[in-house]
Formats: sequence, structure tokens, C-alpha cells
Amino acid sequence: MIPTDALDRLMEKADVISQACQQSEVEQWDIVGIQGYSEQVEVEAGKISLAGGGGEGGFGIRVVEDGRFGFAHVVDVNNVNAAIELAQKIAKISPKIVGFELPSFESTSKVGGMYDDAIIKTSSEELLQNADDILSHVASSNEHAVVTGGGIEISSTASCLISSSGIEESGQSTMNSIGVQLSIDKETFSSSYDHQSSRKKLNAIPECIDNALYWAEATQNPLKHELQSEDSKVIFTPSSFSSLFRYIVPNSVIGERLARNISVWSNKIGEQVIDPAISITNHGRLEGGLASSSRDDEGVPTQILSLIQGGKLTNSLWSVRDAAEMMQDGKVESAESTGSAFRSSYQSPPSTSCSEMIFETTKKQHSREELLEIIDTGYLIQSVMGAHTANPTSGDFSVTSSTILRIENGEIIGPISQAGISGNLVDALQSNVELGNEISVRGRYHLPDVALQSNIRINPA
Amino acid sequence: MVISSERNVDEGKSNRYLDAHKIGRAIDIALQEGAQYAEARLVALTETDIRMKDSQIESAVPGQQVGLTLRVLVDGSWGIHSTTDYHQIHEQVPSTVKLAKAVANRRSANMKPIDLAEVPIYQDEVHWEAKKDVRFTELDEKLSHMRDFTSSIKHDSIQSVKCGWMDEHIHTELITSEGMNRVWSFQRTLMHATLEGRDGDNVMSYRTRVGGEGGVELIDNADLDALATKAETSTIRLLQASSAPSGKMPLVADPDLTGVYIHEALGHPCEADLVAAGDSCLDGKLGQKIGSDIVTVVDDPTIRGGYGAFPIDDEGLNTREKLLIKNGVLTEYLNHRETAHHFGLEPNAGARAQDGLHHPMVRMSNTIIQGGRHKDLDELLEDIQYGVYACGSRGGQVDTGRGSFQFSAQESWLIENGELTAPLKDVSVSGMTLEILKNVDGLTKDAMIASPGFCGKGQTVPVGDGGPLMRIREALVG
Repeated sequence: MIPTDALDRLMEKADVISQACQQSEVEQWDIVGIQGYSEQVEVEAGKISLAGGGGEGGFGIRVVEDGRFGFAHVVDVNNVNAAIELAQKIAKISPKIVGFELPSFESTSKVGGMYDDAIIKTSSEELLQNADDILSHVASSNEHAVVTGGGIEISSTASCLISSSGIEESGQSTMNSIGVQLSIDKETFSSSYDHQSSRKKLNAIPECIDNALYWAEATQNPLKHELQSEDSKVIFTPSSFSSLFRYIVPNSVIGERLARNISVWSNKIGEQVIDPAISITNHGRLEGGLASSSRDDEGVPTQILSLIQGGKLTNSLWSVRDAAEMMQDGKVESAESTGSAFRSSYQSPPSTSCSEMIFETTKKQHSREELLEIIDTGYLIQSVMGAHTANPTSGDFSVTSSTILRIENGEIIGPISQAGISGNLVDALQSNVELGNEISVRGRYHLPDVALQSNIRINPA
Repeated sequence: MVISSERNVDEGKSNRYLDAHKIGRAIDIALQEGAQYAEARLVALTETDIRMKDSQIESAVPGQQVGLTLRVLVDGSWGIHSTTDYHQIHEQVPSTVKLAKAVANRRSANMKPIDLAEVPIYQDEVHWEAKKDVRFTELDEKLSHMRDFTSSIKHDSIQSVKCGWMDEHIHTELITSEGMNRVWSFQRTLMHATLEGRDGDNVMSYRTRVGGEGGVELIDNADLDALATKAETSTIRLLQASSAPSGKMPLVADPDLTGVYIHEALGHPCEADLVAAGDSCLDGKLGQKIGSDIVTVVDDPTIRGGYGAFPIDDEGLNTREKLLIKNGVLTEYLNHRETAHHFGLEPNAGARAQDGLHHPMVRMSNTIIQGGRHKDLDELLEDIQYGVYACGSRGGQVDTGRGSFQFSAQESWLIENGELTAPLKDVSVSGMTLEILKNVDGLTKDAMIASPGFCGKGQTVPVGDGGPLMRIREALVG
């Protein structure tokens, strides 16, 4: 069971560490504490394969002395003095960043929707029943469909951030994730994967289950006729587009990368970088957002920041440390934190990253049927393999899809067994980008269907 | 039959984290509550993670993580509890058994209960000692290696050099209801770098890695200057490279890419948990010819120095070489105790968990395609009129059920009339496992473990892949 007093237990330990920091001779310090609990049910070969749970947590301690920072992490608070000493030792050999100080307290409001009591109250038996319901739903929807992998997870995380400059923030969040890999072995073998995550308890049969089913069914019996390798118009579903987007676009709007001349958009602040109808917003305060919070992991209040407005690069993402470093190095005249410092766990110091990224257009948004008509001839792509091999610096990618449908005369005529998809995402976003009218949340990315009409090459197997 | 045996133990005893008597009592409770099998596996990772940007430290994080997973098998179903609070694990036994029972109660009559293949039982300690222990090497020495690498890169086009260091001492303790009581340890060390270059509006990145199973000696012995020079040369070349052609054509891959190919195209579909789940294109193909005669593939965690090496698997079995394909015939799946029992096979020690907070799954280790008869690259190229020579890996992915896969090269060249001509960027290769293995028609003599890598399958584990130079007579290049 997920404990209800997780935050109290975390704060008790955090106080011990805070006192140790105060008693030490450290100039500035911050402590991040995380204690997570989860329960999960895994599914394999059409049945529940295991059920489990557990807890994991610890504390990260960052010290800053004369612009130099050191970091260490502990699980057992009895070791806190050794951890502080270690962080100080590392700070001494780290480079000095002139002007780098931990942020002062700034008031901010809480972001709502992070916690759902219904998740905490979910029993193990209910979780197992949920898994059984999904298995039954798939089996009753298609007698040849089998859930070959995936599962359900509920989790609760208590977290806190306390600093020498008076920041004291704590809270508890919840999450419910469901994902299924399913296959249909009928006339041909086809498979599909989809998943959903939410701060709120998901429906017993969330949309991702039927979506995975749809794509496994839609990619049965691939077309027999041979298609040529060609530059083609394509519609990426939110699933496939988010796979490519996440490896390329967030990286290109990190302030430090822009300043160091290693972003494809370096020296282009204020310039047109993509289709004039497209806007990208970094929303740090979205209610219930998976990457939203009232403060970032340095304690700076998060914000809603327009990164690309009307196709023009308007802003970039900064942490306190990056901003100080780039100003010291003369790479930028001025920069300040945008509340974009994130830690992957208590074991890592913060680094700059995006929050919720919202991809929108000022033009008319289209239904999928309308997008098919706009594309006329091309492909609809649900998932890609190898998105992680995309070049995050240049935007070049070369991936493969087995869930891809051929479009002719504005209609889907059938699946192809496999195709290579290559191009440059930044170039492909330059013009004629048409968006769907249903936003889907894929992790921290909020995206609709995206139709791209140039700079994409399709190479059918 | 369960047998008890002793294994030769390397020198050096460890300080244990687990109180064997206390864990024994917890396991007894699990058995009394109805478990047919119970185990406690603790992993203590002592590690250092350093990030450096253009010779300046970005972060240096030494630390230790200790996690324990309690796994109970009750009425043919698993219940699991993982925690960093391992001192209190006994409190979790009844609820974990109850959870497993709840899973078992939901199993329909036509579904086979889980059982485990029998294995030898050991009570011993096995320590693979590093020549230069990562725990006792000063941070300054590690930083010095990173600075040496970075300072070798001087070209004006290189805008940024990010260098990283990861080392870890992995200490595992396993106590089971069958009487297994093993402690083992080993180390891994990895240095990696990403170079980012710019020429006008054209930006490119290139990554390089060195390391493996072992201590700091792996980096001491590496030619970091040569590694840096190669990375610098490749980044600059990529800035001038053309886009890859697309279509079906002959492909020659270097050992790095050959390793990723065999990992994705064959290794994953050979994992018996995926086969049992109905998610492998190799289901039912044991003993069948699936590749050309020259293809022989092993997965071998005992190859010391490979990034995927480990002495004992996470179910306590001594590791050994697995012969996955011999002369084109599928001979063995990678398995763990559950899947070995499911398929009636000998357990082959393929169970790995990411750390002490994850349960063991069937995973690869060092996966290598064996060498063939071709003398060298020139001999592989000589009868190719038009094709691609692809080197270095950006990674890959597989859909094991469909048997389709993709992998990407770091840099490539066009092959024209048996000669390497224009440099290419962003070459990826895709295909179907059951087709492309038959298209391998050339392998050079010497196979080697290539750069260290990581494999994700819900959990991330280090792997070593490799092989010789390999020629595929027809591959889908994108």
C-alpha cells in the first residue's frame, strides 16, 4: 500500500539534513528530498505475470561556495555530515562561476492537479482487476489480439526542496500509467504499443488500449504492390511526432546550447525558424501536468514561456547556473533563470530542461479526414523505431516504421509492412505545416496530428 | 534435482549488507505463508558520475545506492517488493506473498503456472577484482583522463566537447529459499564524449565511448589521444558529408555497427521471455536455419572486459557462453529460470536486473557475431558496385514480434566500384530479422567487442556488442 504519511516522513528527515547544513560552514546549500512509492501489475502473454510494489528515496545536497558547486546524495540521514563534506570537497575543485548564487525566495502559487486521492486509495486487488479488465476488453474486441506486454502502475511521490536562502517547498504528487504491447496473429502478424500517463486516476480502459488495438488491426495484411522510395507528404500522429520532436526541438531551445553555438537555432533569436503559423510554448504551470510544478528544481518559480511565436524564436530555457556561466563566459550579455532546472532524481544536480511543451498553430486545425485530403498522397505514421538515433544537434533523422498506412487520393488504402523515414525535422517544419484538431498528451509534449509536406523521404521495404 | 556445490572463489571476502539470519527468517515466513520459492537480492552500487564541458567540471557525483528486491513465487505467480529501506524488508513479506496469491487466484485454468528450472545451489563469494579499483582511485585522476581527451581536440569547427565518466563497483548478495547464499562483485568503467561541430548553419554531433568491465586501468590503457583525434576528424568530416542514398543496396558494417545489428536483429528476438510472451519472430524456430552458413553468434557474459560481462547472473547462476546461432541455425534462446522451465531448456544464466530495485529479466550480455573468412575491408568491398560502408553506432531498436529492426550509423561512406568515395551522414538500416540474417555474405576474420553500450527493455543494462567487419548483400538503407 502507498503510505499516506509519506510527506511527513520525508520532511522529518529533511529537517535533520537542513540542521546539519546550517551547522556546517557551507555558504549556500539546497536539499532536494524525494520518496516515491509505487505498485505495479505486469502483463505478458495475455495474462498477469507479476504484481509488485516498493519504495525508493533519498536526498541530494548541493553546496555553493564562492561560485563553485559540489553535490552529493544520501539515503541514510546518519551519513549526512559525510555527504556535506564530500560536496564541499567537490566544490573546491569545481570551476568558479562568477555571479553564481542559489536563488532567493520568490513567492509563487501552487500548481493544482498534481495529486489524486483516488490513486492513493487504489487497492492491489483493484489494480489486478483493472489489468484483468484490460485483458478481457482486448480479447472481446478482437479474438486474435493478445496483450504481449505492458502493465499498470500507480505511484505517489513526496518531494521537498529546502535552501539556505529561505526556499522551503514540499508536496505530494501521484501518477497512474497504463501501457500495452499487443499483437494480432491472424492472416499476418501485426503489433502495436500505446500508453498513457496522468496525475489523475485513468479510466479502467483508457483510450490507449483501443488505439493500440486499432493500429494492430489497421496494419494487418500489408499492401502487395511495390511502392518506390520518394520524397513524400506525411501525417505523423501525436505518438510518432512526439518521438522525433522530443529528441530534437527541446534541445534546440536550451539557452546554454544556443549561446554556445551548438543549437540549430543559434544566433536566430527573433528570426523566423519554422512555419509562421506555428507556436511552441513551454508551460511550467499546467494543472496536472507531468512536468509542471510551482517551482523548478533550483526553487525558482516556474512560468509560461513562449519559445516560438508565429514561427519566430522568441525565448530560450535557462537555469540559474547556466545563466551565470554563459554571462561569465561572455556568451550572452544577460540571462536569467526561466524556472527550467530539473533533476532526473535526487541523485543528480539540476540541469536545464523543458516543462510541458505545447505545439499549436494559428491556422485552421483539421480533423484527420481533412488532413488526409490535404495530403492527398502520402503516408500516415503511428510509431517510429529508432527516434533516439536522431541527431539532436542538426535535426536530421532516419527512422523506421511498421505502423504506417498508405494514403492515396485523400484516403487510407492500406498498410505497408515497413518503411524507412528520413529527413530533417527542422527543415520539414519550415512551411506548409498543418495540424490536427485533437491535442494528445505524450509525456510532457502536447501535440496534435502533424502533416508535413516537404523534406521527408519515405523508403518502403 | 537441486544440488549443492562449492565454487572456486577469488581472493577477497566482502563485508555483507544483509544479515543472513534475519533474511533467513524472512524467507521462512514467506514459505510458511505459502511461497514455493523466495529470494532476497541486494545490490550496492558504489559509483562516480562526472560531467565535464570543454575541460571544466560540470558536475561530479560520487555516491552509493543500495536496493533490495524481495521476490516470492506463490502458487505459480510472482509477488515482488523493492526498497531502499532494506533493513525493514521482513515487514514486507506477508503483503508480498498475499499479492502473489492474488495474482495466482486470477489465473485461469488454461494458463500454465510459473515454475523455475532447477539449478545448482551455491554458498560462496565470487569477486572479479579490477586491476585499478574505481573506489580507491582519486577523483583527480579521473578528471585528468577527461582533460587529456578534451585537450587533444583543437579544431576551430568543434564548438563543444562534453566528456563524461561513469564508474561503478557492483556488489550483489543473493539469499534464496533453496539455500543459495552468494555474494559477487565486479566493476565497470566508462568514459564517453560528445563533440559538436559547426560550419555555417550546418551543425553535427559525434559521440565516442571507451571502457568496459573492469577498473580505471581500462582508461589508463586506452589511447585517448587517438580516440580524440578520430572523434574530431569524424565530426569535421560529417560537417561536409552528403545525405545518404535510400533504397536496397549492399551494406558493409564496422564491428561497432555489426554489434548493434546482431543485438537488435537477433539478440532481442532470442530472449525467451519475449518468445514465451508471443512477442518474438523466433518463436518455434529453434533448430531451424535462419541465417546464412557463415553466421555464428554467441552471447557471452564471461568475456572479461566487455561492458556486458558479469560473473553470476541475477538468479545466482554461474555465467556461460550461449551459442545463439551456429552456422545459420538457431540453437539457443537466452533464458532465465522461469523461461528455462517453460520451454524445458537448460538454464543458461541470462537473468539480469538493472539494480537492486528491479527484478531479473532475460537480457543480453556481450553479443558477438563470430569472424569469417574474408581477409579485410578491401576484400569485402571489391565486388560491390554501389553500396554503403557504415561505421559507429547511434543506436538501434527492434520490434521483436514483427521481427523488424532499425539501427543507425555515426558516419558512412558511399561504395562505388569497390572503392570508398563520398562521406555520408545519417545512414540508417532497417530490415526483417528472418530476411537479413540470410543476406550476410561476408565477414572478416577477427571479431571484437566494440564500444560499450546500453540496452533498454523497461530496465537499462550495460552491454557489449561486436563482431568483425560484416557485409550484407542487400539491406534497406534510409
